[in-house]
Amino acid sequence: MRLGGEEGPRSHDSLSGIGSDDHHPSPVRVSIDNITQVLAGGTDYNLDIPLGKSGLSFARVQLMGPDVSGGGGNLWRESAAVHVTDDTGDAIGHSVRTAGNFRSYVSTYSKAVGTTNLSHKIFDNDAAGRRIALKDASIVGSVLRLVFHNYDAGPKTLWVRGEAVLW
Amino acid sequence: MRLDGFCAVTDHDLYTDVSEDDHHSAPSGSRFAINGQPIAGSSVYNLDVDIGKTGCKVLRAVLRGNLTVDIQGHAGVFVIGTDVTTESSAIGIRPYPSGTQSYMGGYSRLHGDSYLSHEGTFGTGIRLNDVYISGSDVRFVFQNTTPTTQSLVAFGSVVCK
Repeated sequence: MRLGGEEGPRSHDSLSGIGSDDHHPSPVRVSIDNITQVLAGGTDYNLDIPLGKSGLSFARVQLMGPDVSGGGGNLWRESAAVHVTDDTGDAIGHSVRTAGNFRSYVSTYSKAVGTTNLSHKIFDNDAAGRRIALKDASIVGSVLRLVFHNYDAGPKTLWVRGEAVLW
Repeated sequence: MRLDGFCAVTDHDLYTDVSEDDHHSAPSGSRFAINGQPIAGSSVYNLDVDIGKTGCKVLRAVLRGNLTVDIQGHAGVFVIGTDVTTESSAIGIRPYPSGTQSYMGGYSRLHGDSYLSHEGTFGTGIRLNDVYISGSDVRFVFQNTTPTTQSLVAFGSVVCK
């Protein structure tokens, strides 16, 4: 409660009770750099990307797996592109998996309407049969949390890189 | 509870010396339609889309080209970027040469790729090389990969914050 006569601040310096960044967090971009992490069979792994601040409520995330397709001037990677909020189970996005002949399997995933995953199984380095999928993504406090699941009975090594913009 | 003479610290009306937009960087966006811009052989064309303000840090854009994919669909990309060159990533879609199937895949300038879309997504041999915020513009860098002049076709929408 504030009493009469108190002057309204004109600068962020006056907002002594809160940091200026908490008051209106500026957008950030984070890089996900060639993460390699062994996941035991059938388990989840929370990949927490530090954001350096809290209060962000939206993210657009682009992730790439290890597999490359195409040729010449058309080299591309298996990928997922996801809209993320600060609620778990709220993410929605698209995923791409190579289908041979440079073509792709493409699908839309939505946690909000009950799909189990957010991507194809594209995020491990076992070319004989990739088994790790993105299962959920959300902003949790000051981290971007990417939840991966190993669908194999044995251990698999997560391989992912990408970037995200958040605001 | 508010009392007489109370000055609420969070009312934007009280920030008389700064605009609301300066105070908390409101998002901004723009649409664009380029239909037939010639690009000389093996040349780059910078499409600068005015977003009406400076200070944005991140962008999200969706573009489509002119090649068709199934009913009323087209080649295109969805892309994220920043106010720095070669910090962008995208997923691109281009139709397979026959039928209604597609090529689709991810690209990242940030992680070392040289471009953000398949060749031919935005006209014969034309691809998107980079996207970034430059002052009050978002700059889309297109590359004509053929030796002869080609026409750029790119329709899109971009939002910035």
